[in-house]
Amino acid sequence: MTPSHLDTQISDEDARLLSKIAAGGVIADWQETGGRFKELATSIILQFADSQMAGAAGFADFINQGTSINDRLQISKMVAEKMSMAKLTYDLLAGLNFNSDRYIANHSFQARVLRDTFFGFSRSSADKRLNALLYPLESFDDMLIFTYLLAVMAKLLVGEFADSRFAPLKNLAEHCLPIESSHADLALEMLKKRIPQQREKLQVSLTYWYPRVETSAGPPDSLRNQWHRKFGLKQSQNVEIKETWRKEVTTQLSALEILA
Amino acid sequence: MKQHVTDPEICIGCSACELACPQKAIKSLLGRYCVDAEICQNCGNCIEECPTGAADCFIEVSTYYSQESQSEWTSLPT
Repeated sequence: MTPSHLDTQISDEDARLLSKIAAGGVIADWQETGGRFKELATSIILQFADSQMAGAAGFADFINQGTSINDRLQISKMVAEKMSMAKLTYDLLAGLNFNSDRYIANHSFQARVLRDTFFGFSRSSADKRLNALLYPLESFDDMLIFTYLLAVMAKLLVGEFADSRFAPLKNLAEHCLPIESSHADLALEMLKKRIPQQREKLQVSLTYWYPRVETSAGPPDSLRNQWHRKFGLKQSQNVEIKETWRKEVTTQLSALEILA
Repeated sequence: MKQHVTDPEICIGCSACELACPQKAIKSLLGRYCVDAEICQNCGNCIEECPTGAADCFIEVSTYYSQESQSEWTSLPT
């Protein structure tokens, strides 16, 4: 194997960007960036956009399994919002001559692996979605647990981007953050209603999904994360995000008497 | 026969493929990253590093396209 792109020497354009960011500067657009920054930022942007697409594709199947009209409306609204966020996110790459229609047409966001598969941190998809979105949903309750766990994670990740020093990503994240938060709130409210009748099923789903969503924070001691922080794309280490996520979900789920 | 190329419609010009190639088979011409079919060993390192999947592209050809010819593409040849 050759050294990773991330292991190569810092170029003059990297040094110029790093110096600007270290001095508190903001990167206004792609024109200011170099190859390494583009690769890192594009990976983040596509991971978010592809995850929204894969999420929307997965959740759409469960709209009509909502027990009330209101539940169905809420789930369909969430699907529409995910599609809308994906579109806005792909649009960020238009300045790089990226044809998002062609990219979307080349990927199957409905595709899932077998239920018992567990990839951990290894990459296993042609698109850039989070691994958690590769596993299949089994039922409406399973979808609620998954949605809650992943929406809390997404809220934390988008929160990182909202403090980004890359203006286009920051602006997008500020728009998406309240939407992601509302998806976590929606799933938690629906879970509260279903707990009395479905506690055992929800507990089984939680045991299944917890380790699969937990990996979305990224591996510890990640070289990629170090670069994300150097370039001001993220602020926190992956382990810090994972710990914040763990605290929030265990606190809220313990209150419902289901345990992660 | 198949030729390994980069898809001009989703390549963002970040150079990750060029840096990942142990054979130095990829270079930038007119801002387009083009694969030299005579040098490429199909190791897949560029595909692994490409953030958009543009390097994961193989087209059926009767004769190989040169890097100079690839650099003029705005979309894949039909």
